Amino acid sequence: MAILETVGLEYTYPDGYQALTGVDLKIEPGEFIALLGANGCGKTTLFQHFNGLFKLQQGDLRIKGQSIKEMKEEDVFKTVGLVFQDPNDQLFAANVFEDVSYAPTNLGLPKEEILRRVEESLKLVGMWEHRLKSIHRLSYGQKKRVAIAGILAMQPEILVLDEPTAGLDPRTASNLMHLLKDIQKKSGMTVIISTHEVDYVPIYCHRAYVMERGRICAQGTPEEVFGNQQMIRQAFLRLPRIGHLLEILQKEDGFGLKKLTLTISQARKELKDLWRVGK
Amino acid sequence: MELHLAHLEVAERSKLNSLDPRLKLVFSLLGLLIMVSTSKALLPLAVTFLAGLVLVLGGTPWSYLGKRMLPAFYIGSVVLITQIFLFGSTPLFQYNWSFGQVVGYREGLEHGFLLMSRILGAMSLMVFLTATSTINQLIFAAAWLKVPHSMIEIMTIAYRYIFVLLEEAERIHQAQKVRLGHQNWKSSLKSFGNLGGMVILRVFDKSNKLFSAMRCRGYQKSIRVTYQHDFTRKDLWSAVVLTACLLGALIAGF
Repeated sequence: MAILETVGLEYTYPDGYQALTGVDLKIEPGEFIALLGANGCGKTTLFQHFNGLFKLQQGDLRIKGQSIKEMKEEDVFKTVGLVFQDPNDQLFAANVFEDVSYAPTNLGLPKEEILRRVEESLKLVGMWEHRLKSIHRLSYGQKKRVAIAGILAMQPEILVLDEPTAGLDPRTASNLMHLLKDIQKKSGMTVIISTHEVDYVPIYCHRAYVMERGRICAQGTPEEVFGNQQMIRQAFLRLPRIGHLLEILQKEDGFGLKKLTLTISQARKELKDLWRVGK
Repeated sequence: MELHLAHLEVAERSKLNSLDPRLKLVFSLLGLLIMVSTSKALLPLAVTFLAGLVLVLGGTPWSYLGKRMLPAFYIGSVVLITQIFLFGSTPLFQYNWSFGQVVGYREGLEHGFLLMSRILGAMSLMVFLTATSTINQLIFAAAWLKVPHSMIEIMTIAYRYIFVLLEEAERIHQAQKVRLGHQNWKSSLKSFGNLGGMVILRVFDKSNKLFSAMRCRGYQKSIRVTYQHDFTRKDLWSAVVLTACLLGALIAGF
């Protein structure tokens, strides 16, 4: 059974702009999913539906088979944790520890359990040493980690992150993606990220959905999605850089590459094979 | 913002920072109460001296102490001088000027000195609190003291978002500056008007987003967090020492 499913989801903003024009997707438990799309294609609007922040206008959204309409708001929030794009929109407490304790305290858990969850979440994101620091003294990357810990402390089954790497330098972004993959592997949690950083998708994600003008225009494994290069470009996306290089080598320089290559390790193997054959 | 960060650094570096903030807040409040209720200047002066001594021993720089105490000293001096001439009936000194007679009174001097010592004492306690505790710690202590929850919420949110708004205002200001928005007083005035409007709009936007984020984390019409502070053996001994100091000051001052 799918852990999260949308059927014909549509949403129109009060000013008449239709952000979602019939979204159908089906996500299985334990998957690491990327939602790809250009700016303004409806990713954030869709994400705000995932945990019920936006009320359904048309279509349905099912969590573990149950329609969100039949679920209590609290249960939806407990199951689907949403990490906002800008951590400044999410972190409000005076220091790190207090902010992460906010959700478990609201859940009415006993103090020992709250402390355990806060410690576990902060250790998981590598911020335990900074627990007594004021939020405004953290770097942007650290704030992102604390924002993730704040949601992890709720122990959701689905972790949804809106543009997790936006505004981060390449190294911090890579570390954050590693961290998310680690969390997903260790906890078996379903992780859904929205991004237009296509280079990360083949490395970290099991499957990807491509959004264009408020609807899903492609889905599948990264190889399947990026295999349709015309669609990718139509959606204002691109191939991962390494894939693009190998595409040029194949098409313009006549390199006999057998298959689509999307990661550095795949490219390395392909080029080594070619080199051996050439020798 | 830089000024605040300097304060924060002093508080974090102080050896007294690890003391339980509840203890510091309670003793500061008790100190204030005692100072207000005494009619002798010696007690507030003793408190000022003790607070200064403890702070210096705790590693607070002299220059920082001086900067923080200077305004209190100015205000205290003005109060002292005005009280001498405005209050009392026993002349202490008098000058005859062309425009009239100026008389200084003994009761005014005593009362002014008491008020000045109270101002210095109260300020030294405030410096003691803020130079050894971060705002986070003070909010926690206030929450423990059962300060109304709505006040704690306002303090928490204000302390967190004042920096976000300052950053926002700074960004808009820089953006205006690079596009020559502050060339002369006229354009500056216009730009500051726009800045104010933009900041209000962004505040509205931020507060909406914050509300959504808090709902996602189970917001139930009041902000509830868990604090992590333990009352240690060191805190207990400090409480004993502070109580002894207060008793000593009380005996000396009453």
